Amino acid sequence: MRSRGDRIKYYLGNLLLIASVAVVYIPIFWMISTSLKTAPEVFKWPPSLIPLRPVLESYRELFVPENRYFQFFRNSLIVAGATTAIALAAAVLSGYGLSRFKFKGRSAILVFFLITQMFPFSLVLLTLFLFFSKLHILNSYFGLILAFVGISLAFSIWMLKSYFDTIPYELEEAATIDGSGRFGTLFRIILPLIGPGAIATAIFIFITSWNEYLLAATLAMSEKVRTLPPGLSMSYMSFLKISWNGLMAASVVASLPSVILFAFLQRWFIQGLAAGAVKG
Amino acid sequence: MKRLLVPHQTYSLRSQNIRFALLVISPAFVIAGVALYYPIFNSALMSLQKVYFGSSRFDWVGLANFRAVLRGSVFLKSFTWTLLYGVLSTVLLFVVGMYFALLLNRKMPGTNLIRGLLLMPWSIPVFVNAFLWLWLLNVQYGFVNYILVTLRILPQPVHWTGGSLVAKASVLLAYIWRVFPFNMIVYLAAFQTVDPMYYEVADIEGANKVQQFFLTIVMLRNIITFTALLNFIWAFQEFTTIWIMTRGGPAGATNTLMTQVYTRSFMERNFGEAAAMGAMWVLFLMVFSVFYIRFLLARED
Repeated sequence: MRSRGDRIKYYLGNLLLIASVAVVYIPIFWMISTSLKTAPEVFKWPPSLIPLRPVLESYRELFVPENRYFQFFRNSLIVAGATTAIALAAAVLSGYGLSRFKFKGRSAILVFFLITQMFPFSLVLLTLFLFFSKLHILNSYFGLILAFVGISLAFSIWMLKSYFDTIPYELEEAATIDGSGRFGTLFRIILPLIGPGAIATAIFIFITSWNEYLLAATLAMSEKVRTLPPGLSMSYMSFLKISWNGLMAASVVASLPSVILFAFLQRWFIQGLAAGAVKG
Repeated sequence: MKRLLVPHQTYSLRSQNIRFALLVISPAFVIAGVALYYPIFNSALMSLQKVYFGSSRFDWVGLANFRAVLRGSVFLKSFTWTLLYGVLSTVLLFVVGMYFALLLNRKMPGTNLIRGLLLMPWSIPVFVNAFLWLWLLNVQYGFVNYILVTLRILPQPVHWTGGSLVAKASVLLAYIWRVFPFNMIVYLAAFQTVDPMYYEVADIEGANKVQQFFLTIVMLRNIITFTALLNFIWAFQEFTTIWIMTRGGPAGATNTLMTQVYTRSFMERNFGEAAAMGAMWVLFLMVFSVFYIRFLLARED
């Protein structure tokens, strides 16, 4: 702090930041507040910002078997979990191959993956639906996972390839001279080094799958495998009057996995993103 | 960010290396082929067919689907809005993301905590975000109308998803609120890569804060362009927010490529025309892809 003017600017900046954070947090505050209200209080005007008499009624209702909430939740976890594992494994291998070996056609393969980001999913869905129906994998975890892995690959491969590019090549050379096999080198020497990149990518895939609505709603119409996004949309919004406190409670719980993931793994996520995406 | 300064080397061109590379690339290659390329090619063929829903029957009809789509006013309208949505969201994400990144990029206690707090919207699921904004913007009981009317900014509550212009603003607002933390984090990380020496020189040369900001922008032009390209692609792929909040309405005002193709196919059961719309989009996006991919591949070297 050199001068008084600088000091004033400093505090004004802090004030601006805190006020801005407060504005960003209004929706989250409103979501939690609504989820704790009773049905009559939701439709009170003017609305109460903090519930007059907070109740856990809406949360309790999620456990009612007819609502199938936790069935959808479990389906979402299964599909997002499996998608993350499979897409991460495939992307690590491809990212490694595309980062470490220069051969004719390498750029073409990279383009092959990158360009899939331009495929409008709704267009892919048109015939994917018919294709899956022919293979009898509509309404199955397998079909959903296959589609979700497909849409996560491009970005994941690019992130991991960029991350592999930042790892010095000498380590592998030493391991190769030591007589470690190719897969041995990859698994024992290289994988431990890409921790942040792999975690960042895994979070990305998990969130993509957890969020996916369009493919989930079309490829899984049966309640048995229905995931949360179409599940919630169908259970709470098919009526003329939406139960907002119920929907907000369901939303708070549906946000928990990704929020918790972020709370714990944020540091790695930022590191991985910084090294992978933010180069040059 | 400490960067490892070892130059990127590669293995010698031995055939077993290539075989190994192809082996490790193959799983992703096969999945992308089955889940993305096969359906997209089939959809391209479908744009030339009349498809009878519920049976495997179809007729080849040439360009009839394209003619039908171009004759209607819906396609052009959604084309314009999709482009606008892409451009506006990319610009707004840059502005909001940069605003928070600059506010956080100062010496101040607790920045790590605040940065963590600001990441929160990005960890809120897209569908939850759409429900939440629908509720915030509710005409009768929503918080936004409450606060705006109480503060006398609005004379009376607005039906946010009811009018063409306000519905467009609503879906944009909901989308920006969730995605801006991504831009913020990338810009913040990018700031760390700028050598402080440049600012010292700028200080000595008497550059003011605004000039230093533009210096930063110029130095980070690559990462800013990369983020903008990503934002643009995401906007094109965005379906959930719009579908849940407005179903593409009112009267098609918020219909994008994604909701339009979905409505034409799975709602109206006109697969041929939906495929024709999609095919025109893919042709259009290919022009954009050339730019995107050349940019990414250039960054590689």
